[in-house]
Amino acid sequence: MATNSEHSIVNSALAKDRLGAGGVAQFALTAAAPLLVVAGLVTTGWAVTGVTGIPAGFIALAAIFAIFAVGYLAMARRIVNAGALYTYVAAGLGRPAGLATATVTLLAYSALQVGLYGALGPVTADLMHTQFGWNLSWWVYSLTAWALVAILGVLRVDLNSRILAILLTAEVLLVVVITVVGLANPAGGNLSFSTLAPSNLITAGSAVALAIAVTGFIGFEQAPVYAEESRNPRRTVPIATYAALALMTVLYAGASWAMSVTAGPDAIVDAAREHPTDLMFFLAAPHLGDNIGTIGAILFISSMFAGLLAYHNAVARYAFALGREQVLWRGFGRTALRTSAPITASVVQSVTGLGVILVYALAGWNPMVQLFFWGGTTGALGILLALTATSAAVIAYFARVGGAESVWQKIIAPAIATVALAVVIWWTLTNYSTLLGVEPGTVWAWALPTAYAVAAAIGAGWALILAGTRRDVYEGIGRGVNTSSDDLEVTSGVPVGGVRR
Amino acid sequence: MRLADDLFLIALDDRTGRFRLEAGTLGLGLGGAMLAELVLAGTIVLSPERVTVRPRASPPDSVTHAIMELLAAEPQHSLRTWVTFLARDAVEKTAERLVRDRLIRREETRTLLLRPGVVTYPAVDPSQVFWRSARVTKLIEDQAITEWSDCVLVGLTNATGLTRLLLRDADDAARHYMQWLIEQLDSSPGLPHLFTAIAQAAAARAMTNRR
Repeated sequence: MATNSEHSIVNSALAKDRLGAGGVAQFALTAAAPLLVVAGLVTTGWAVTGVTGIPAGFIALAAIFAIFAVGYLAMARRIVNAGALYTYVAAGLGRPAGLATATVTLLAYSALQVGLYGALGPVTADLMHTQFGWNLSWWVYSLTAWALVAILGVLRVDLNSRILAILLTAEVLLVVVITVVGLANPAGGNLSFSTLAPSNLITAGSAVALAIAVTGFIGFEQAPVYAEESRNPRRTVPIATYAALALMTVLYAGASWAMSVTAGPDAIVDAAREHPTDLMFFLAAPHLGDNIGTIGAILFISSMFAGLLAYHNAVARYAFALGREQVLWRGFGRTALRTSAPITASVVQSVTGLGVILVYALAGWNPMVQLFFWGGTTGALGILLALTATSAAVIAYFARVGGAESVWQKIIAPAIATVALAVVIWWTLTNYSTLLGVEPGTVWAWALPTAYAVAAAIGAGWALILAGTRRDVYEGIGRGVNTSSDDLEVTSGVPVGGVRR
Repeated sequence: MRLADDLFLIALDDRTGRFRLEAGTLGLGLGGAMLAELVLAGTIVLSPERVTVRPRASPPDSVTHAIMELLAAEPQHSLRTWVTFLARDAVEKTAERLVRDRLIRREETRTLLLRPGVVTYPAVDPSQVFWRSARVTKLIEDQAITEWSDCVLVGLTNATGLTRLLLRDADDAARHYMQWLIEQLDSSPGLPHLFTAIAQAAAARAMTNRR
């Protein structure tokens, strides 16, 4: 990319097609789906875990992520690659660690995406029941959304960015209004700060509050993915990252605190258990009228749908990038000629989603808790692992290559972030049964985290096999779609151009 | 602009007038074709980081003249940046030329939605369009390519993925011949870099949202 931008016809023409900070932040926030977090994740979190200090968790985690971002963004300026996380780990900690991060991240995003079907179905079913008296099962709506996502994914059609911007703005406004009204009408007449208090972070429930908060913030790490598409990556990406992080923190901590204030900190868990899909709007209804429930539910559903599509595309692109590097099955690197969509990866994710929805429907498992909440928190654990590895990779990378960045960027901030994130992971793992709301020792409490150990072992093991057998492919790990090539391969089933090193 | 014209017509469905390849990726191929044309004319040299205009080089025609002037004026851009830049209006420009040459017509269908109309390019004589793909397929299957320009055309169809259509029914011998053919361009002034740049930019499209 050219650095000399003054009066360049080429640069100014290309800049028109590129994203500004607002555009990049919008993509990050769409993946985060703010209304989904406050109206779905937080309320389900209260109901499942009984831990009230979730608002404090958001603030503590925002601080950790802000420090993490210092090193992360310094590295993003050096390595412009749409694969982001795993390419940084490959560059810093070596290719086996990079590939382990890739498989863990892929599994995590996939769990987050499929998990969303578990919330969209029940919320839509409730809305249809109250509005039209329909009594269809949750999975009917989940499958409808699934079909739409599957089709849009293959056609490489994203929701129009203007429509997304309007929906996102409406969501944010709704959250702000409900927050302000909620704080103005505290239960019992006195404003309680108890759910925000730092003391929440030294109780047994702190791990749970932090783990739930991680789920909410996922998406903030996405800005460097858009570096190549942005007008001025050096400015755009950091602004978008910090802006998204700041907005999320204010919205999440504010809205969840307000809900606890309106219901009363002692009553919030019971209220959440009584209103699994509409707590936020139920609490606001006495002050804003009954229509707030309908408006809220519609925006809630659109927020989830936008999130579903965003995650679907994120998973498909991740698998596509790995397929092109030939580190995963190379079929993943195939695109559809007519649409340039990463077709195989997209279809595989859709088939996964369909399978999971059908299993939950047939087994009669609780979609809101066992699919949405478990998928979301388990996905968050995977992203947390990847972020921690990335943070450690930043230190290793700068130790090796040096550079003009400050010691704060190269060592101190990433070191603090690595330790803090590692502590959060440790707490989360030791409290996993509380997080899932199951008895300690239940199979799920160890099986879900173990899946990441298996994924990481497969990734690292495969990298070591490649190192011994296919050195050319091994050397290419972490190059993403920028894999360079001297020869073009022409066999069927090879991606566009079939690039090989 | 023989290369760009051929690539455009290969990508076109002679029955429907729609593209068989996503238009953005086709644009990258056409942008690459313009550069390849200049390489074949001996006026530029390509490397991944730079596109260098040879001293005292004269452009082969008026279309390439403007491109050459810009290449000389802004030497700081990478090859991939140039491909992306030239791709922006390459489909429209190539279509205009082919409409003038009476090979295709331009038709715009109005849609009820807020979207702009859908543009199709029906063939004036479908056999003339079909022939462009059939010729290349036959040349590869017969292992009978003798012109450098055809060799480059094969490289461009491969970089954009169009060979998946051209060689849909071909056997392994044809595929190996094609690979061998593209390797013959390794000694050219940078054409393999051009194919790589096109393939990378095309892959980057799969990583991005359509806006």
